[in-house]
Amino acid sequence: MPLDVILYGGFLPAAAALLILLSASPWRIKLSAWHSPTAGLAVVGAYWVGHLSQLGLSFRPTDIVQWLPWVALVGGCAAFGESLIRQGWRQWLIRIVAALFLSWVLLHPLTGRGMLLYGQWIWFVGGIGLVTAATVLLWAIFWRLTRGENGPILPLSLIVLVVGSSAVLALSGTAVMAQLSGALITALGIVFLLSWRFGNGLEFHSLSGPLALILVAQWGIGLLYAEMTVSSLSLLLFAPFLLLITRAPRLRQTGRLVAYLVHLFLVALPVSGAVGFSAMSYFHESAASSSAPATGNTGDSKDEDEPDYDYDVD
Amino acid sequence: MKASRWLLVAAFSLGLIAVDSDARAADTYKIDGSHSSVIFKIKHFGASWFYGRFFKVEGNFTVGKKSSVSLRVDANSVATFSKKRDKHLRGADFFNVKQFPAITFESTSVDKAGKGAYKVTGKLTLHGVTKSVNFKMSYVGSGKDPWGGFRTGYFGTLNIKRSDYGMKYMLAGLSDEVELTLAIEGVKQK
Repeated sequence: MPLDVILYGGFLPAAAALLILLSASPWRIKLSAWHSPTAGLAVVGAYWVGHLSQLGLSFRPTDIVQWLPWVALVGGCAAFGESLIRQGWRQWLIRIVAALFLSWVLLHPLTGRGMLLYGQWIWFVGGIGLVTAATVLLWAIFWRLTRGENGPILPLSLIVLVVGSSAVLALSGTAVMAQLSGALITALGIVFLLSWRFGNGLEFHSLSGPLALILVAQWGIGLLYAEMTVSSLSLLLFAPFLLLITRAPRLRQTGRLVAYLVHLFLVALPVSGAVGFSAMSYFHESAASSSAPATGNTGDSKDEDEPDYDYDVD
Repeated sequence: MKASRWLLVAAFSLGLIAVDSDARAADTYKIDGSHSSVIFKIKHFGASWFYGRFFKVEGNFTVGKKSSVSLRVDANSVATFSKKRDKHLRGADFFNVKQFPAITFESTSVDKAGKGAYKVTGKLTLHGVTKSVNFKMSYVGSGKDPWGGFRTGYFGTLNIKRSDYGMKYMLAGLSDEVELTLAIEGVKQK
């Protein structure tokens, strides 16, 4: 792995996350008002640094990838807003507005520049509804998981989820998304280390919004603009849902080692399935392309995904 | 009588030449995508040149007093003779063809730059970014085809920086500088 990828994709984002988290003085017994949203803001800060150092920043994004820091920023604002509101309909309003923004970001490039036809409108509105629902659901699950949780076990579970997501994205032909996941992984790594060191010195629920928005954005790009399979996406979405089992009162009373094992098993199970499906798809294609003519449409079996190269000329 | 007949023939010929010159002053050609090539060249890990091609090219060009070129390349037709690599090239890391299906070039001026040579200036739109570029094109040749059409062709190369067009993935391994080769053949429109 090139040194600059490690530096820009891992080290600098980790430094940014550490600075933001330390600004909340997690070693204090009496927590400051600034304390509440810092975990979420640390993730957003790390993601910004990772994106900025590797791909730069576009104030007028055109390419879908250039929207990602702005999605993360909306996540940061939402985390800040949520930390003030905590519960009630206004919290749901924040989530829905942020999720609608993400849906628009993911889908509007596919509509082209012209007016939408009737069928396209149905597709577009349906897509907006689906992405918004998935984002809000994931956000709510993360919020439920992080409520009352401040030990290192949850950040560790989230690291497993993001590492798996990164592998799926890399196997789906979008290495940029996999690289950017490095910023999330290192930020969560810092959250893990600090929560391990300072016990209950950190609150995690501000992670919910930024994580949900960034992950759905990356998965959406993988699915809509690269080669991510629906089965892999479904399993990645299912992993946090499965982690909800750990909220059962009976499981919360188990010992630390058992709790670690249960958390890691529950998240690793669907995530490894997602990586497995992506790897199967990747290596199946590799085998197919090494045994078939590379041009794709010169043999008897024509790959429908391949464009017609118009080899047959007059 | 004989002299006047010769004068008549000469006048008629001159008239034809004049008509022909006028026609050549603004001949429009439709690009024959099957016989035109858009090829890119990029340096791989600083070690060697790597070539790829776009198979679908369309557009037209006008040759004459006010020459112009209009070119549309289907980004989805990128081909490097490796299915996996082609898919990667079409994805979000590079051309992002779902969002930016076309690469276009519209000339704003075409100036003569010697015999059979032209300086072409225009707007290149790649990956959703439009930038002004200029490059030289040279006349290759002309000829009649068996179907009664008249064909002519031009060749040129153009150097761009892909990062200028927002394509910043793997700049350490794949050079920022990309050379585009345009070899276009057009059929004269009547």
